[in-house]
Formats: sequence, structure tokens, C-alpha cells
Amino acid sequence: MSFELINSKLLVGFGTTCLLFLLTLVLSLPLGLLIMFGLKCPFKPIKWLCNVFVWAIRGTPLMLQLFVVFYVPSMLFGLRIFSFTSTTVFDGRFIAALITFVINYACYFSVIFRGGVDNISRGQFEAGKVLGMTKSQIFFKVILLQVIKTVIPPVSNEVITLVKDTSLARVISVAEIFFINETEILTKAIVWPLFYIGVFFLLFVGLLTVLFNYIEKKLSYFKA
Amino acid sequence: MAYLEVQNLNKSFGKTEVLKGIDLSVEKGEVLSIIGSSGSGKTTLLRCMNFLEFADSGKMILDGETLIDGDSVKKESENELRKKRLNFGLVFQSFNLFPQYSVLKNLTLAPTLLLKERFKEYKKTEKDGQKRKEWLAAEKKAINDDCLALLDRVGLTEKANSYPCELSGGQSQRVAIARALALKPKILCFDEPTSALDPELTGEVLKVIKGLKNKDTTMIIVTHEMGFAKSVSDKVIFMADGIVEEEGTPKEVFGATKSEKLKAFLSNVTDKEGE
Amino acid sequence: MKKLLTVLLASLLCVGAAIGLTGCKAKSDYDKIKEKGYFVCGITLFNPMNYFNDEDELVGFDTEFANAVAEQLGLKAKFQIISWSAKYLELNSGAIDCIWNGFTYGNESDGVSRTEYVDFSYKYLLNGQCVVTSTANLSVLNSAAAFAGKKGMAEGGSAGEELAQSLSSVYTATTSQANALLELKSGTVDFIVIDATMANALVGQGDYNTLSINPAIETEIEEYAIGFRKGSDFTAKVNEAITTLSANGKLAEIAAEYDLSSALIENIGAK
Repeated sequence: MSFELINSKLLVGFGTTCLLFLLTLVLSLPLGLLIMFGLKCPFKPIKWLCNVFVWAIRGTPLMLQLFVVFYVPSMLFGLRIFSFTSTTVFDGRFIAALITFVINYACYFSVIFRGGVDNISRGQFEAGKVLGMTKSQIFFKVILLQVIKTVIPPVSNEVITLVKDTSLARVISVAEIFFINETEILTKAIVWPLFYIGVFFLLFVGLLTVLFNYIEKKLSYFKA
Repeated sequence: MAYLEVQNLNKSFGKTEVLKGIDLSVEKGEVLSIIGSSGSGKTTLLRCMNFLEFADSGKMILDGETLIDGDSVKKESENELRKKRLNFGLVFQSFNLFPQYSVLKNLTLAPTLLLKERFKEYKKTEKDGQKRKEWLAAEKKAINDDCLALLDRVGLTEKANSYPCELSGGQSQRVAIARALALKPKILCFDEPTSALDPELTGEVLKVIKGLKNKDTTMIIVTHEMGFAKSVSDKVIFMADGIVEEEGTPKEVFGATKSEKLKAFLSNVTDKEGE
Repeated sequence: MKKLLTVLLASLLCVGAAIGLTGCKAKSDYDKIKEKGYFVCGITLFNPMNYFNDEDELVGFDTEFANAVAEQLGLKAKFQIISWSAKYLELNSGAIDCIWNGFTYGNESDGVSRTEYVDFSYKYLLNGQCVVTSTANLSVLNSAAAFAGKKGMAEGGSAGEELAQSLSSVYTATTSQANALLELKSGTVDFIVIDATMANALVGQGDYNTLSINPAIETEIEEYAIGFRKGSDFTAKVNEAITTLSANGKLAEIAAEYDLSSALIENIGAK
């Protein structure tokens, strides 16, 4: 196989990896916030349900969840929701992987967010209250940015883990970079793409590190 | 009836009775100081009046409007509570400035958010888009000017664009006072405003509070500064174990002390001040 | 009490009948495939059945065979690379519609017949399992006994697994036959068991010129067939198409293209 061919295959795979990563990030952060509200809900059954959910998701391997999401709906309930194919990357496998990743990461994020909110002093909420703000105004205008500042380091850890976790999607045959390499390139006894892939990931994570440093610096003007 | 009347206010946390039938009254433009040892219920009283805690029973009437009637507050909607809270301003012991906003934004934030609600109302009566814009711009400018004037009043005009982390404790508390005033509360409450400050910084804050005293500003101050309470107050209340043990003018309370508890408290405090 | 029981049983029967009836109304497997307009073949990349040529097109005997059948049925064939050990899960979950990838009509490595898991089409190609070692090792590994204790490998869930395990207790399963070849070439295992069709196409040439088919182990002849969901009416439709393609010479044409003429079964499905 020529370099151009391998290169183009790997780029396509990396495109899928990036897409899976970005969509997971964009969707799991708000969902994490929502689950966080559930974890802090004064209504006990919701709080309890959310806690059990987070426990179940964090307590089981991501790989297991991928299998469950992709195979169980049709095997147990006859719902072939993920069996559709597509000319784009968005086939059933990709969507199943995306859903699994979003739920999994949202649970991790929700716990990080809860820690962030618990860290904000009660005085900030009370100051908002006595200034006549509504609960949502207090959260979005006063608390949120402070939470963001305090959760940036743990979130950046999770995000970098996510970059690498995307490779797990290959267990349900999502054509991300490792899957392509494993099925189409490595089997031809060509090993240099392994280093090539390594460089991809290093660059990607390097970029994210720069981004997070930038955000941290941007928020360093105040002390939460 | 006085400007502010509190009648038979009770509050318990679990089995601990913190307030046992508090009565007090304040006239418009008066300064009321509440003194007492820690755990006497002063702060809880203040927090109940600001609806940060909910009284179990009792009454509070401000300017003819009943704000607390029995335990009705607990059932009230978020919006009702917000409206009631806006009658009061509260300056916290630990300032609680919003760290991510500049000093000026700390002051303008709440008025601007309230302006949004007023703008919604205004939009119902005014259909002309250009007029709406002008109205909003004028209102925003008014808030900005008001807040700058308040900063001037607490002597911090040059800090308008600084962030809270760049301020000293005394400056922070002065900003917090200005922030509370920005909403033009009927009653301004202070919860031990100088307790978190280094002794050399308390002076500037007390000076600012004294400077606020005029016929329109009604203030309730929970404090440990006896000298300050004596000089600034029109009325002093001494609380012990959840009840008003003694009340009167500063002269009566500090000069002709009746209660044994207050005598012990005062000698204790003076001893400490002497150290 | 008896009356209650009768009522209960009767209502149960009614519910059962209702479910049965709706079951009858439900679309058959082939209806669903027709509705989609295509069927998905679960494959692993494996020369000469399904693989990418130098132009990066998916070709191979099974690829063209499936396309020809699809054409006969007025459908399209799509190919999905799967993990071979998950093939039955993929099939039953509907993620793929058939296992069409040099699928041996025979047993799993645990001795359970594959007919327990799938319905097979007509058999279409002869195959055997083949032991491959490095050429340098041919003189050492010259009898079945010599393999004892050597590191063996085969594709997990493949027909060759049973043989590999019987030759040596040191056995590792891998994800594809191509992977097994790679492992052997890199020296991490001593021998592998793969399909003869694949070994004939790859071993001793190109990337794998240091490897040889080991003649010391003789294996039985097997046949390839296509696996379908159990009870699916799609099987019969494909069989019809295969019969036509076998009769009109199209299948022989494809086999010739991939050097498989001698292995092709003739007159498939003919009465």
C-alpha cells in the first residue's frame, strides 16, 4: 500500500475520531450539568435515581456499555434502532457509540460539577438572594463562571482521557482511526502508521492542552 | 405604628430554639444596633428579616406592609420572596462580593437584572422600537451613574474597574455596602460588618457606615464594636439566649445598665478591648 | 377457585393468540430487507474473499458474489467490517443481515455446530484449515507432536480454532485471520491456523514470503456457506439467486478471477 493511500485512510479514521470526540464533548457537558442538578435535587427520589444512575455508569466499563447500547435494544426488545447504515459517518454504530460516550462522560462531568458547586461558598448564593436575583440568575450570573474556573483542571483531565477513549468505539466496529488501522493496515504487516497515529494523538492532546491553558489564563483574573 | 415592627418572632433549628419571641421596632431614619454574645440569635434575627431563614411564627410589618405573618413565608413563591427581600439590603460579615465581576459591575449587576424585568413591563406600553431603545439606554445610564455616585460615597471611585481580589478587606466591605445601597433598600442591615477585618481596617468601614446616617437611611447593625454602637445608634438592643434582654437609647443601655447579663457582657467586652 | 383458574387461563390464551396474530402480521426478515433496499454482509478483511485492492476498492470473491446475488434480487449489498467473535450478536441484533465471509459450514471451537446459531445457505466453495509456520521452522515442526507447547494462534470464533487448540495448549485467539498472519510474521507466535483459501492466496509471497504452509498437518476438507438469522426467509431467496448464478456461469467467472476455480462447487442447488 502506498503512503498516500494509508495516509488518506488514516485521515478518514481520524476524522471519525475527532467527530466522535467533539460531539461527545459538546453534548456531554450540558447533560452533565443537567445530571448535576439531579444530584443536588431536593426532591429525594430524583436525587436517589440520579445517584444510582451515576453509580451504574461510572461503575461499569465503557466497553460493556458500548455493547449494551448497541446490541441490547434489538436482542432483548427487537428494536433495531442502530442497524441503519449511512453514506456519511453517522451510521447506527456511530450513533450508538456517541450516545454511550455522551452518557458515560456526562456522569463523570456531573460529579465534577457537583464538587465545583459545593465548593462555592454559601455566601455567594445568599448575596445573590438578598440582591433580589432569581435562582437561575444566581446560578448563571454568579455561580457558573466560578464553577467553571474551579472545574477546569479536572475537566481537562477527563477531556484528554476522552480523546483516547474514543478508540474503544472499535469494539462495535465504528470506523475510527484504530479500527481502520487494525482491520486495513496493520494486517498488511505495516507498522509505521502506529507512530503516525501516535503523532496524531500527541498533536490533538497538545492542542487541547494549549486551549485549556488559555482558558485557565483567561479566568485567572479572579479568585473563586 | 413604627416604620418597622417585629412582633413575637420565633425560630428553631431542629430542637434548638434560637429566637424566642423577639419584639422590636425602628423608626424611619433611625439606626438600631443589636449587640450580644455569639449564639444569642442576633445574626439569625437579621437573616429572618432578610428571608435567608424562615421564621416559624411571628409578624414583621414594614411601612404598613405585612411581610411576615405566622409561618406563611414558607409557602410563598420564589417571586414573592424576591420582592420582600428587596425591601432590605444586607451587608455580610464576609463581604460576598462576586469575584468574577469588576467593582462597578458588582454594583450594577442586580439593578440591571431588575431593569430587564421593568423593560418587559415597559415594552407592553411602548410599541415604538426607537423609544424602547432610548428608554433602555437612559435607564442603563442612570444605573451606571447611580452606582458611580455610590462608589464616590464610599470613597472608592478609583477602584471602579478593579476586581475584588485586588481590594483590601476594608475596601471590599465598602464596595459591599455600596452594592447593597444600589438597590435603594428601605432598610439596610449589617451583619457584623467589621468582624472579618483586621483591626486597623475597621475604622474606614465604620466611618462609611456613620456617613450613611441621615433621615432617609434606616439601618440595623449587628455589631461587636461597642464604641461604634454607642456613637452611631439611636437605639440599642441587647440579645441573650434568643430574647431581647434589654433595649433603649445608647445612654440607657450603656450608661444605666439594668440587666445582669448585659453588665457581664459589657465588662467582658471592655476587658478584651483593654488588652 | 376452579372458575377463577379457567377465566385466568382463557384470558391468557386470548393474550397469547393476540400476540401470535400480531406476530403473523409482523414483517418477515426479507420484507424488512426489501424495505431497506440493501442487505449488510458482516465481513473481516481477508484475502481472497473480501479485501481492498491497490486501488482501495473492496474486492474479493465473496464481495463480488454478494454483489451478484444482490443484483439478482434487485437489492444492494453493503459490507460491514465486524469483530468475528461478535458475528452472531451482530447478526441477531440486525446490525448485519448475513455472515458472508468465507464462513465455514461446521463447528465452533467448542464443538457446537454453527447450525445452532445460523441458517446456512447452499455450500459454495471448498476450503480446508491450514497450518502456517515460518519457512525456517518447517524442519522442526514436522509432525503433530512437534507442535505441543508451541505458541499457536487462530481467529477467535473461526473454524481453525479447534485445530490450533488440539495441536498445542499454548493458544491465543486474535480478532482476524489477517492479524494471525501478522503475529506469525512478527514472531510473537510459532504457528497459526487459517483458511486454506487465504493461505493459498497470501503465504509464501509478498509481505509474507518468509512463511510457509506446513504440510505436516493434514486437515479435512470443509465448505464455505453464508450464514443467516435462524428462521429467516432471506435464506431461501439467496439460495435461489445462487442456483441461478451457478447455472449461468457467473459464479465460475468470479471464481476464475480469484484463482478459486478448483475450489468452487458446481451446479449448486441443482435438482
